[in-house]
Amino acid sequence: MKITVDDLSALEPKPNQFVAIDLEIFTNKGDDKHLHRPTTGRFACLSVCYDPDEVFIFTSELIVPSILEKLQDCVWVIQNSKFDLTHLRRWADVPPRKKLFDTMLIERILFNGLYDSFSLKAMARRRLGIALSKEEREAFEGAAELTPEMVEYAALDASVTLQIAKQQKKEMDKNDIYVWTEIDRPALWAFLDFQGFAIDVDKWNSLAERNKTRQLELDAQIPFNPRSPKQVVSWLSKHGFAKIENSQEKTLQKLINKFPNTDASKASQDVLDSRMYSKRASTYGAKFIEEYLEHDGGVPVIHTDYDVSRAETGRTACSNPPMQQIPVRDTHEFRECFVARPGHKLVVADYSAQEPRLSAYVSHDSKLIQWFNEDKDVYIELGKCIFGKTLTKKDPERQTMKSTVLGLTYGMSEYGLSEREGISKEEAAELIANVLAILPDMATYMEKQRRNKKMVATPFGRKQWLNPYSDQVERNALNSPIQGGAADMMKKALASIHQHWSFDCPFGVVGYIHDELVLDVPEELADDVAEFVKEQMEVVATDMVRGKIPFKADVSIGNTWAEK
Amino acid sequence: MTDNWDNDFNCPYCGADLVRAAGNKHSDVLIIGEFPGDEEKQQGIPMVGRMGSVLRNELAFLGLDLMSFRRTNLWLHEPNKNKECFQMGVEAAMKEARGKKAILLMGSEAVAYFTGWKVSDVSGLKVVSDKLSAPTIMAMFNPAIVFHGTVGEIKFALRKFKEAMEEWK
Repeated sequence: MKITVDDLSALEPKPNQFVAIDLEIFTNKGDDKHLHRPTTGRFACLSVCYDPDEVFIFTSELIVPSILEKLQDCVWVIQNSKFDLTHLRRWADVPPRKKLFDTMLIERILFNGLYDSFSLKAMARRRLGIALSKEEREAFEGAAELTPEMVEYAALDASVTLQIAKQQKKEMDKNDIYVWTEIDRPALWAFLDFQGFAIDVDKWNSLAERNKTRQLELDAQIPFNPRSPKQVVSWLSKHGFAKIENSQEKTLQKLINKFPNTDASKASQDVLDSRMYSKRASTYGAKFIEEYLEHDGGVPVIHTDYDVSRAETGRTACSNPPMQQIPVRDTHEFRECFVARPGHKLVVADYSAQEPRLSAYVSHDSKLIQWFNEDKDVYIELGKCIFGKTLTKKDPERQTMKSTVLGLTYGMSEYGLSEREGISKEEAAELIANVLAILPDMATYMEKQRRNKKMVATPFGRKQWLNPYSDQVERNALNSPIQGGAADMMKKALASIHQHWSFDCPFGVVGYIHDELVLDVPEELADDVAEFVKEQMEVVATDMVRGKIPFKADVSIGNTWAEK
Repeated sequence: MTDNWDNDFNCPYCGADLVRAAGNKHSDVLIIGEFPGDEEKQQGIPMVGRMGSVLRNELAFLGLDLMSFRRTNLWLHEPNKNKECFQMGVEAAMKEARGKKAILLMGSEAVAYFTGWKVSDVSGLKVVSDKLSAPTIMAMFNPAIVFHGTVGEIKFALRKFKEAMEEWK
């Protein structure tokens, strides 16, 4: 392989040619969690390759704009482009472009669920039969100068990326192309333009202190160490839970439900609460702030790392920090700490009953489609058929219907439903049978889906390979099209909001958590942004299902993330 | 059979139940796994448990019969800290490997011991070993990964192994 160093004039790619681009940065120890931030690392080199046998290496960030200018009309081939594009934007203007081919994201489109790893190393091994050493990659940590070995490593990465892309291009069918060009690629550009999520640091720290105090107060009341499994089991077995096997949450919760209002159940609850407060105080305390806090124009913010299609279903994942894990079920205290910037408002949007609507769409269930088109509450309608009475939104039977319908689409078993609803397994089985009798098309669809052992797809064409040896294979065959389809829809909506953003402020999305969008925009624009976001989400969704079912978005405006 | 009847069943160093090589002695192919599981110990035959059934299925999809291959493990019983136990398994595997045309190394420990590579670097690739000699030596993940991960790597490696076998055939 020929390697040409720092010769810009030699770079002469043709328009529309596939050109691999690979950026290497020098990092420091401990930078791993912050590589998604442009503030991390220093330029090491940029590799460019449009012939697998020749790679151009550039060792100065000063010529990045000139290099990219020369590649303007080419298709940029990048492995994990979010990283490279984030950092290239430090040295050059890189607006969203259609001519982008991300080998990692495209490999996921082709083989999500079939493989665990989509790293360049894994793909080079599988596709090219090359064992790519990653030891040189580690050499960039702590280094300040390029060695000849590092240059060779960077060149090989670029050449391999190009070769992989050429194979992938030939393998993509029209669904794969749609998923890349209409969903993942435009969503990627939107993620690249996310702003930091403002956080009230004082409130966050005092919440952590409060959680620590709650934990200590509980610990003082518990006559043993709640974090010692041995002591927990020993005490509880002598005080009512004679046959307790371990001190895991699931075990304790089961015993609390089975023997309520006993000394042992009270102590068990205290143990669970103490552990919860302890975890909250440590995970969401000063360490979180120390690890992730940045400032944007003087405003304290958190920037999360989004991975466009990390989950096997194609769902977006976020990490560093994982915002989806911030507690929300039993408390709004944490969300109250995420706030609008001064003079701004938060706009929070999500789809209403997205999964049931998608289930109706994929199953072609005439009853569900009819109810949604008549703008009826499907859970109330189902309840009417099953319980023979009119329900209101507050009736517990409606919640039971909701759990059953959602559970069905997620492959929930009779056991799962019985646990969730606190009913017997027989009652749960009867409930499921009754619901499916009213929704026969759904029943047929589920039966058909369960038979898949190799591959399923979202209604928008994203493949999801199944593992026939997994005990979750039936569940995944049912769940993946719905969960992945919901993610496809949300990403396309996000992309549309990004593409059509014309407000007199930067793109305002600060969070994409649990299929919920959070935007931080100037107060005077909040109403217009809310209306725009709602319209975009509804139009995109209704278009995606070809108008067969109306999709609705719920949008709210507030000062904190909790005000939804 | 060994000279000592008991040595056929139990490890002479630690006393654990032994699972020796099995399958067609005259096969050109040897599969070396890591260590026997419960089912293997019970039957005294390598690769007949859950992992073996994955391997058998996936080979069958490719038109290959696991039972027609010679099979053994790096350990002849569950791993322990006794070096002599380990060495006994290694020597048995190396003895089995003599004259074979294709050797499939399965799992991180077998791949690391015989090739020095991490299995994730070379699964599905031909490898070189200074301890084994055969026209084709290939590495692959332990098929048991399908129980907590995905199945693609196993399919990929076995397909590559079949292709490699076809080369020398």
